[in-house]
Amino acid sequence: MAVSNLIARPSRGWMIVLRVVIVVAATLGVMFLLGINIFSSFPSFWRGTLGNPYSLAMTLTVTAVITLTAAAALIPFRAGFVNLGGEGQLVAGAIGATVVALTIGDPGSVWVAILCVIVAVIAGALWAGIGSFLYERFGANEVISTLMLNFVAFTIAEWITSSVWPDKVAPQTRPFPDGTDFPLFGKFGSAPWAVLFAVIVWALAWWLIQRTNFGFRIKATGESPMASLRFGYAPVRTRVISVLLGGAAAGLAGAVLILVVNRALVQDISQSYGYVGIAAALLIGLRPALLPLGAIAFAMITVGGNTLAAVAKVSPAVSLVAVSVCVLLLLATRSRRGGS
Amino acid sequence: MMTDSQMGRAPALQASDVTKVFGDLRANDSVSLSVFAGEVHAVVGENGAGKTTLMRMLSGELQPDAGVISLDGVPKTLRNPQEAVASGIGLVHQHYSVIPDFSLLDNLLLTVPGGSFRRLTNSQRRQALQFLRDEGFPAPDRTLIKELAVDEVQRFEISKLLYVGARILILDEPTAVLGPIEIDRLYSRLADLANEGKAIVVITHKLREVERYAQRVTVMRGGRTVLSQDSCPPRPALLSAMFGDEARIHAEEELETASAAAERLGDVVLDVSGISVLGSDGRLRVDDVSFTVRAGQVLAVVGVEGNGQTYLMDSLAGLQSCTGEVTLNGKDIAQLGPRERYEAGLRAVTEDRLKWDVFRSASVSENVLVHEYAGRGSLGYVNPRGKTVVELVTDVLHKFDVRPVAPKLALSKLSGGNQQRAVVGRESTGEKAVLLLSHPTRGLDVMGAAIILEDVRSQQAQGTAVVWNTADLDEAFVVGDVLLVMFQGRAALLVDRRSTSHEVVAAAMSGAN
Repeated sequence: MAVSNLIARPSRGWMIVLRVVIVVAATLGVMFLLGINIFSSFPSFWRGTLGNPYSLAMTLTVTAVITLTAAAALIPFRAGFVNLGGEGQLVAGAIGATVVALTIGDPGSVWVAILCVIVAVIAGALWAGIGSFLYERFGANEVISTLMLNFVAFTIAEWITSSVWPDKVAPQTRPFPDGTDFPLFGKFGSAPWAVLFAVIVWALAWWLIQRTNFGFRIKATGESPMASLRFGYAPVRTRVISVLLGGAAAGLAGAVLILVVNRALVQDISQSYGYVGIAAALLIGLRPALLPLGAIAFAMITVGGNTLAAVAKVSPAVSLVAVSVCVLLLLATRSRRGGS
Repeated sequence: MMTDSQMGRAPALQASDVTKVFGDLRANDSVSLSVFAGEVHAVVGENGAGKTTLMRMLSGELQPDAGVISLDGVPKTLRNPQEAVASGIGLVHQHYSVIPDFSLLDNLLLTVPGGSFRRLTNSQRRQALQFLRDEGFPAPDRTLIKELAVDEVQRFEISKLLYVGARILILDEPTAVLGPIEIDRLYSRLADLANEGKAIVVITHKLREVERYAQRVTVMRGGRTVLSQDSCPPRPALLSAMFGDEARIHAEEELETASAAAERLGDVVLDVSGISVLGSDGRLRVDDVSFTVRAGQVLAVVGVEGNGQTYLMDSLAGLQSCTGEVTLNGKDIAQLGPRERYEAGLRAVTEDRLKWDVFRSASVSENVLVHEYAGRGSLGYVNPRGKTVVELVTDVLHKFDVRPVAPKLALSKLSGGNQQRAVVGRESTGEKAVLLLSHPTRGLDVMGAAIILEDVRSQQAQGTAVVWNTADLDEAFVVGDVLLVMFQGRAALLVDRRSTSHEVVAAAMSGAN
């Protein structure tokens, strides 16, 4: 309970500004420590993120994915459920989409792609539902269960890529048949579809949390389950639904990665986007309206970091290190506001 | 205005023109206070008068922005509470700072100054043990704090301060949770300590206590000291010093006399028959209690804290399971949850505001509207910023004098007293059959209490049955038509107010029957 009480509270405007500053400073700090010259590398950073259509498409897609995984953290967090399983829920969604694409892949029909998305959303929600069930039924700590379920999902993905539909060369499934995808937009490929999904989820998350009675019950449950029970907000049901919605968003992120980026289930499909989403949600102080802001910040770090790493010939893990440092700093800036 | 009979001596503790500013708020504005050894000094004032800020500066928790604090005439900077303790200043908070699962001895030893990793010698332990025995705690190494009654814990808190050498004791609202006999006992202890040469400061808003027990009185209003004198002034002078607002001063007298409206009683609305509550530790907390409340009647539940009143009130509100029968207008509600009881016409202000009544990070408006968010469809929305909604909320805030009237503000930004007013306002607004009020005036000043009482009188006129739980005997006699005295989970006394006396009820509260 202590952890969730700490996290369920949204934060004030200046805290968010402080966090953005922290994230930027931490990223630059990590780069600097790894011997990357921040100033002379800026042109490469620009080219690698926004400077040309291909990198712009990549950055937009990653932004969309992180928006979705941030929603996967944000909605359950607001209900007091610390969902660290965005990663596993994303993988579950990707597996769902893969199963559809490789079993009933019917070339030339956009309906297959739509079905992939639907199945991915359901798979993500169900995967989150396991953690939710363990929490509600047995009181299992959700931080641990959702985190551990990530590894279960990775292992299943590994089994599928290595044993069920293995590719002949790469550590991935065989590529999806043509036609199981969305119409392309020239140089931007199918990135606009990713953006469309993210915008829809963003709008829905904002509307649900800030403009519905149910949203008030989510926030109320996160802050005080006892008072929520008293006022008839059905806190258990509210929390379960929030977790399922979060899982669905992560599942959708998995579908986006499969259909837009990889066109196959690759072994490290998630690229830690699930964890990055948590960082993004914390960065924006769990305010749904700011979802894309947090996502853009971290997309720039991940995509730009990868570019810089390539230029400076250091490990691409540099962006992950930066993100991890950010998460630690963000957790440290969550103030414990004492009662008066 | 200051008639200082003790002029010759320097005060044990003195604040001179002390100022503390929080943002735009001048919480203390050139406040002066002199406390002499050998006196019980009452500091009174309404909510937000600046009493607590002053005490926090005197005990080193806050540092003044301007002004001087002196001890025995020597200016002294108290940078933190440890320095205040080292200088002989001890503060008893409203919420006790003890560890319930530790023994008295261990709790005492925790306060002994020194590093966290120090090792206590056996002689230190023996000395502490002997000290507590002398203070009247028989087996301090084998008794846990949680086994003590509330007033005993408070007595222990005072002993603790004496052990570390406190000669100036500051008590913040020490009688909020005590019964009349315990209050008397506390003040006689404080008088003894004063006679031994200690300086005692009591922060309170119970005027009766000020009149009965204080040698000197300082009144604060709006962050300033407005009166400081030997002996208590007559009540009208005291009230006008506290509130300044002559027009509303008579509220206190109204509070004393106003229950004539309750003469015409209606049918039985709430019928409680043989209810018992088992605590989570397996102890019987409420033992076979029965009573009825009629339309337009106020039942005052009164008892010393911890005699089952909380369990009784919570079980009536549906927050605590119980056995026995509870009917509301003939409908059996014993098995219903809190929301279903709300729909049946029951409203409740609980004792534990933070746990049951409010969402601190939600806005004031949302907190007033909480019942609305359950009823309508999930995807509908009661917009707390909508025009009619804001008007409705603003009315409630005005009526119960919640300040500031800012529906959009987070509830946590309001002071505790204002949060309490908002909650009481929410529950008393609208149609209802039964209103349960647990300590509705706790932490409120005289004006706040008067507003709530006035509202309850109008509820009575409309035929609402009211159950009002209080630990304050005087309050019980003012509000209640019928008094239910709880002692050790049982109904020790159930009596019409007009056919009993303070003495009889006080005796029942202490189990002397």
